[in-house]
Amino acid sequence: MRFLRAKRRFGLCLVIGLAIAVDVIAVEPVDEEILLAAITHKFAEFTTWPESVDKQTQLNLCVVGDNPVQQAFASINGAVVEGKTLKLINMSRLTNLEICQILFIDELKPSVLLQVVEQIKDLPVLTMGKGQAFLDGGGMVGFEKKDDKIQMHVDLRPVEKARLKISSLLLKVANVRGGP
Amino acid sequence: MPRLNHFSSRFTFLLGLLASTQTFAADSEKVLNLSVEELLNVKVTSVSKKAQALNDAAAAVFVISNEDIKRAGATTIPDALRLAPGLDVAKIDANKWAVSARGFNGRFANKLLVLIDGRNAYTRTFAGVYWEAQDVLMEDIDRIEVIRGPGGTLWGANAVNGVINIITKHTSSTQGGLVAAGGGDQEQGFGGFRYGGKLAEDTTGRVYVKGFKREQNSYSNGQPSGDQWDKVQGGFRVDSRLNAQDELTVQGDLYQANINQNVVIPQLSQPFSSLVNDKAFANGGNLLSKWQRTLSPTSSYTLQAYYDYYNRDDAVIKEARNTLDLDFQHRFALADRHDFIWGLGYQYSLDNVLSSPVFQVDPKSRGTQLFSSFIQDEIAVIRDTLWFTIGSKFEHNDFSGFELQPSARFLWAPHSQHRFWASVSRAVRTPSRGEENFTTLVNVTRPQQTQAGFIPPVAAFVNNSPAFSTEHLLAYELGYRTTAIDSVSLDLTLFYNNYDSVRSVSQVGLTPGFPIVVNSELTNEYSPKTYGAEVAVVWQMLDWWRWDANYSYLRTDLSGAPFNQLAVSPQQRFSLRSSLSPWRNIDFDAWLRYVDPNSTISSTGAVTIPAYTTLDLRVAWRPEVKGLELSVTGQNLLEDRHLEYLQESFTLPTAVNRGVYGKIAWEF
Repeated sequence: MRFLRAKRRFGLCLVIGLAIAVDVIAVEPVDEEILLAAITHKFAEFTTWPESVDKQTQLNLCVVGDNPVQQAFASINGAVVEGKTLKLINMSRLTNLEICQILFIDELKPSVLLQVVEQIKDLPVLTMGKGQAFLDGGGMVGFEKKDDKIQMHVDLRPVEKARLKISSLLLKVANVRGGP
Repeated sequence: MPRLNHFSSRFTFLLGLLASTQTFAADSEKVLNLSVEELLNVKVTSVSKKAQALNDAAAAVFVISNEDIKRAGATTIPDALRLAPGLDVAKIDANKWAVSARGFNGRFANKLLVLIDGRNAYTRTFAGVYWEAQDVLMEDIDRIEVIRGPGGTLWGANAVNGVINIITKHTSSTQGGLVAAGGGDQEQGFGGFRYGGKLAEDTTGRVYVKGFKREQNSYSNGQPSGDQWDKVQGGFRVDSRLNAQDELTVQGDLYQANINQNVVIPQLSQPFSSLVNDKAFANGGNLLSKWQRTLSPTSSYTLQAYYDYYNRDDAVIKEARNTLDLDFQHRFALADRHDFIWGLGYQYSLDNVLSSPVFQVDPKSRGTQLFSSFIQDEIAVIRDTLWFTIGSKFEHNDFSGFELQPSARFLWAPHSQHRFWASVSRAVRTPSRGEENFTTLVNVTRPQQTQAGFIPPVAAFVNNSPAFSTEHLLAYELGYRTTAIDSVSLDLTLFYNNYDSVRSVSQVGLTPGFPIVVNSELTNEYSPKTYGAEVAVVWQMLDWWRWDANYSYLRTDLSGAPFNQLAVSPQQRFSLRSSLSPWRNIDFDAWLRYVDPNSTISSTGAVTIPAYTTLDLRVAWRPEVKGLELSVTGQNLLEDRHLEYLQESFTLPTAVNRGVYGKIAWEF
């Protein structure tokens, strides 16, 4: 009897557990921007910046995008990762790019994107954007929506050039270009 | 508790103070605790972003997307423009439209500027647009930006009441083929073909051809109105990235149309007017080249040149016009807070107009020049919160000389979900070739025997006048945009327009005879005022069900001008659209529109067009074959026919018929 009760309890837990999992993962799709903000949070956590940045207590997260994008990223503003506070900066104009440690670009004309990447190519700025085209334009991390899920593409060449290190925890679930 | 939260969020919205970020917060909380692997397994949606995006312009901007046009079943540019709030779009007959913003509509409406990929569709002949001559492959439209209110500072003269920017897709997003064909009772038959490919490593291109045949409408008594027409058009576009900084676009179009119309041509001898079953012919083409150099993230310049030609041969006017246009724009950031944009422009337009029974033209051919320059500075007064934009256009044209069009605008973004803006701007409408060089025989009334006695025929001429000059507008606008309620966005604009020196007609002489000849002259005596409000709401009710509603209110104060000389646009317009996709491969769209009565000026005086309500329905099915879509669209379904507008002169009141068409589109 006791065994049966335990089994039932286990079953109940499983159902609730599944229900929660289903609630998060399958039933309700999440806004793409919110998910991208959460993934960006992981990158902030699992990326190592050069020593100059490492001494800072703040990581500047610059976001180029409209109000829904800014709003989604506001959810990770102020989060503490590896002893540093994430500070969201709305890049409504593409000036002072050098203050960024992370630069997330939602949408830019390809010609402007090329110039942005050109301007910060030697600085320790982790650049993130949309699609493989973002990597073609010199970006580091590109997110692609496929079958309603997000796929990650990482180009290690600009990452190394900027003296950044992305943890293998992230790289093992990404499509990596320019690896050893 | 959640319900209470929900209620309170709406309450805060009403106060206009705080934003509800509930769903966002709840979603973020859920996903932030997941591992990377789990995050990559979460299903995502991006429908709400489209509904939530707020425009950052300090102007009344509305964007019509390619998807909107498709789902509205619009087959013409004017029909697509009905999607925007505040635009007064009225069909005169199968091949003529009256389109304006914030009043003073007409077939020869002269206060709206229309650009197709940067090429001006406005004609100097009457300072308006031949809508039947403007077309693109509807599937290739990226978006249509509709700016209500003056846009003179950036766009130049005649952007008095609005600017319409029709922008086609970059060729990199129209790779592959598209075949679209269909037909019905009003849309008798149409077809389009486009093919896009890669021409070199960084060069893409496309070619297209389209054609249609449209059925005639009816007079109010049900008799056919003889306005059937057909058109064929083709064109190309090539986009090339020359290097990391330079991009070049070259594009062009050619068209020809056979336009049928029944026109009333006045004449000085018996029987004083005749109804002509006219077979008009129109053709034209253009070639445009645009070179863009991006120097840095905050600095770029553009050089654009185009040539445009059109020819029109009908019973009322026979004209041909060649236009050459050059434009240069430079944009750069300065000292962290300033974003400058300045430009120079030159246009030469050469026409050839033949006199007709209606128009006496002198000189027959005229070449006119337009020199223009502008400068604008957008200043970030408080970073990411408050912007002040100031600028002016300076131009010189051969009709009215030097013109100045300054504007000042504020944009305040106190929160990511709220935008407030305000503007004061001056705009001008410069005289047209017609106003300066045409003498028009507007109308000849037939002799009548009445109880009071015999009324002889009267011929009304409107003469050009050297004194006729520019019309002015001083416009004040206020706007508010918000997404404070989850999945709803709201855009509200208030405006007050104070016009001065608006065109009037003054009688200058009366010559007895048979007919009696009344001569009038163009003058600038009217100072009407308009004010109103425009509201646009988008509600993404569910991922698969969206509502778009808009309402426009317009009051026209003629300020003493006689009722029979200025057109008065509908006071209220309302549009409600439901876009429903219950399954991934099925779309069901419904579009209801209501338009208040309006008055138009015909050759015999003011005519009131009654209010109308109309409904369009569309159902589309995408079978398993990739890129294939079958659809059926019903337009103007509520009545057999309804009248929307009456052209200023020469045509008879023509009602728009109900129509149904089917369409197959296949992208491969």
